Amino acid sequence: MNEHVYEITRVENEAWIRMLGVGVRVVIMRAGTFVDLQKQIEAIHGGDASALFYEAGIRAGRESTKVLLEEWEERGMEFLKKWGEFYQSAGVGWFKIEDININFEKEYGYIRVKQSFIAEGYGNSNQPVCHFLCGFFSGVLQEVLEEKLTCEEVKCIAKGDQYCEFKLRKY
Amino acid sequence: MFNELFGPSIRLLVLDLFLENPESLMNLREIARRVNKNPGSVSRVMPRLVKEGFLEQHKVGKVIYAYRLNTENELVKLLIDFREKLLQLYKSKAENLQCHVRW
Repeated sequence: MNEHVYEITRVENEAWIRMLGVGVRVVIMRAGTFVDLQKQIEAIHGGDASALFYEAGIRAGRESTKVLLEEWEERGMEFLKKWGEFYQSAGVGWFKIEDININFEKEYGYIRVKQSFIAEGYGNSNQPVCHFLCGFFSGVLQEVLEEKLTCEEVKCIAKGDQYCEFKLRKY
Repeated sequence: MFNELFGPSIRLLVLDLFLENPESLMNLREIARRVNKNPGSVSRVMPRLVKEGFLEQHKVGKVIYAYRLNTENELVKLLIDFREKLLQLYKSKAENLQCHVRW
């Protein structure tokens, strides 16, 4: 992975920092801040909060992937390999990909990740908690595969599973 | 209608859809298509709508469920009635507005 991609730069007289490899403005947020935000929205909206984070994740996944597709000029599995490295714990730090399995013929696939920043920060839960990542993966793969996809988190570290697993299906 | 009044909310979008189509049996994919949302978002709001008695859940395949408005539920009957009255109110308001414009 090109280390250059992870480099951030500050521009004089701007409050921004930019990720050099993709040129976009980024912000640094404590992982716990995101989890606090999620918990607070869950306290107000109950179970519907998961749909809200899922929808937000789809949008984030689609928009960020559009930028990366343009920047990297790679497509398909080559893109996904690079994308996985970009987001892993040593990169942006959202998660660490364990396995990506996309079966184009059977129209389904799964992504397994460890160190999800949401699951690890959330604490114990009796249901999956990575709603944003769930939508995010759906959004990313919709852009990469140019298919309509839906995603369900079937395993989650917050539930006591060894990893978080996201099952993707065409619809 | 309820989504416009009390939302926005995916749960209210789905409830509106069923109140507008009280006889329809729809699976998740169909509901998602009609409210223009991802099925993953819709699936997250369905359990509460079923648990609270607004919708009936019917198993139509090995892992496929279809949903219908629970018209036997007293609260649903009230919502249907309330919706009808709201529609009448909107209609009369629209007519009054037209009169004012003509005048």
